[in-house]
Amino acid sequence: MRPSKTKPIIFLSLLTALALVISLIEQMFPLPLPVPGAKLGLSNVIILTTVVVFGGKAAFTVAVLKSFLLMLITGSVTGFFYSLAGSVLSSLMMTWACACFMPPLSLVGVSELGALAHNFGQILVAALVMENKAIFYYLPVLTLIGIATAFFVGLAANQLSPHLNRVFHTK
Amino acid sequence: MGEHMKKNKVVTRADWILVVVLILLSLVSLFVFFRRGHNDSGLYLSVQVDGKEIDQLDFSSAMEGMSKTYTTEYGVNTVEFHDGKAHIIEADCPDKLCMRQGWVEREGQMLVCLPHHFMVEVRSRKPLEKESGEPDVMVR
Repeated sequence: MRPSKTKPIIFLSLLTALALVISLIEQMFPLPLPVPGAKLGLSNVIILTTVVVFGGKAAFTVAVLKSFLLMLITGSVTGFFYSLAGSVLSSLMMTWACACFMPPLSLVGVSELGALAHNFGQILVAALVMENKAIFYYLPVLTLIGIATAFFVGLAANQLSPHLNRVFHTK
Repeated sequence: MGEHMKKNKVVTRADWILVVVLILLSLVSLFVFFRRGHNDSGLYLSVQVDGKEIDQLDFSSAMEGMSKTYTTEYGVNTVEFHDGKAHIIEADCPDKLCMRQGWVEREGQMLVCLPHHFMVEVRSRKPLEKESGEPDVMVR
């Protein structure tokens, strides 16, 4: 029996939608920093889980789609670039970390690295768009906040992955 | 959910090390960035007479409320810092136009006392600071 091709698509669509909703809710908690679009990074729980269960390419797709849809929904085009840079760098970093650093690190560590990449990407785009290197001064503050949320994101992803794996592979 | 407890804990020692390293890096860079006492992106006042710089005054919290007097062959001018801005508070030139030019705080702004060949200009220590700086308005 041929493995269904529709099933992964459905799952990834649901995951994208989940990441999207999390991002939208996150927008209600703006950080007091002059970096527009800087968010807590909670949607990384979805990206990370996707990396673990479906692999890096799928996670990359989810990250890109999430950013794109976020732009369509909120109408914020500049936010798109920040979100895209952060999510893409984060998914790439987490894919790499999962593959290479997992034995010593757990998903919490991977999530931390992902948050670091996410913040760096956002700040990088902000500095480029505003043509002002001073924005980088906020990288430490953003990172400290990101480290805190990434910790719980990692724990959540750790709980979520086995369940998602099981659900995906039954039936 | 109870039956798949892995190892003892989820968070490994390597995780904690990573977290601590990241926190330390952030704190260190915070200090490095903001070390010069609220220097506001390295702005300073370039004091010039006859087009030649004779002094540099940083826009830092140390200069708050302070003033400095320059006596040259042309005359006397006094510069005062207040609220992160600077102005000429005292001058013995006949027209005293320099004292009425107001406050300066942003890169590129200047105050000029023509009779005294005296000028103060706000400059930045950050070599690659673009002149436009931040946009005036951002529409989301």
